Amino acid sequence: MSIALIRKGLGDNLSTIRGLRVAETIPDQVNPPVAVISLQTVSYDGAFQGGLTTYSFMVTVIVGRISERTAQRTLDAYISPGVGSIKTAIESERSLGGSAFDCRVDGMSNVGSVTIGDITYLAADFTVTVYGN
Amino acid sequence: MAKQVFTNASVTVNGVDFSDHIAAVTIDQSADEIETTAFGTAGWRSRVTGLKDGSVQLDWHQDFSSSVDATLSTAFGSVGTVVVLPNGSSVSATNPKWTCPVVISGYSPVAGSVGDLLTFSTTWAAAGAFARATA
Repeated sequence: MSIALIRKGLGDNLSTIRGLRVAETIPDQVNPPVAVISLQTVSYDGAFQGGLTTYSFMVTVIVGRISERTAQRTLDAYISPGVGSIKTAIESERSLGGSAFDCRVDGMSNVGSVTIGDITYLAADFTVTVYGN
Repeated sequence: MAKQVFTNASVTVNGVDFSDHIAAVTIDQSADEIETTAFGTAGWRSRVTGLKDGSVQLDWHQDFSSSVDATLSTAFGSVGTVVVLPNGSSVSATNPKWTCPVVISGYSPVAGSVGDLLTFSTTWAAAGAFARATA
């Protein structure tokens, strides 16, 4: 199991949300709405003989903020559990194309404005735990 | 290797290698203390060892698609054998092998909280003498 394949699996699952772009690596420029996948932490030796490694990923969803109300509604749809949400999309195929044992979207935090290249966007961070080896 | 970080233990149950599904292993051995204090022991209590006992405790990662559940469900209620080596499966003077006959008297196939990794623990009492081998 490789980190690159886990990223791809997360990206493939996120791509099931219509209209959402996916960046499997941190981009220099954003073209919203976009989900940016970044690796946060890795915890080794969860079982003997390399049997379990736990990866924590952050999926940052960035939406345009030309209209505040529209931006908030778009983000709300990604956050609310159900069809079209980040949680449902990522957990739609929990082995991530065979690259992991299992995965789970643990939670969402940090809803707020972010400024990238002098443009202000609305963003939210989703924490994803992936179990592999 | 002298002191070691414990990451590479080998654990089999009834001949099936479950090392990569186990997060902790403890072999306990004890002996009863039989008091033999009498006059003439210089004011000190005196004891000898009596019957020996043991147990093996394992912390598992459940897996219904591998042989974890199948093996333990079949073995539940019978006498089994747990074999433990501290560092891989090659037996040597610096990597001794403990062969532990145990009573597989408990198995919790589902024991978890929502959102957690599905794990369970077992503690099985000795069904006979634990043996240590170096070859």
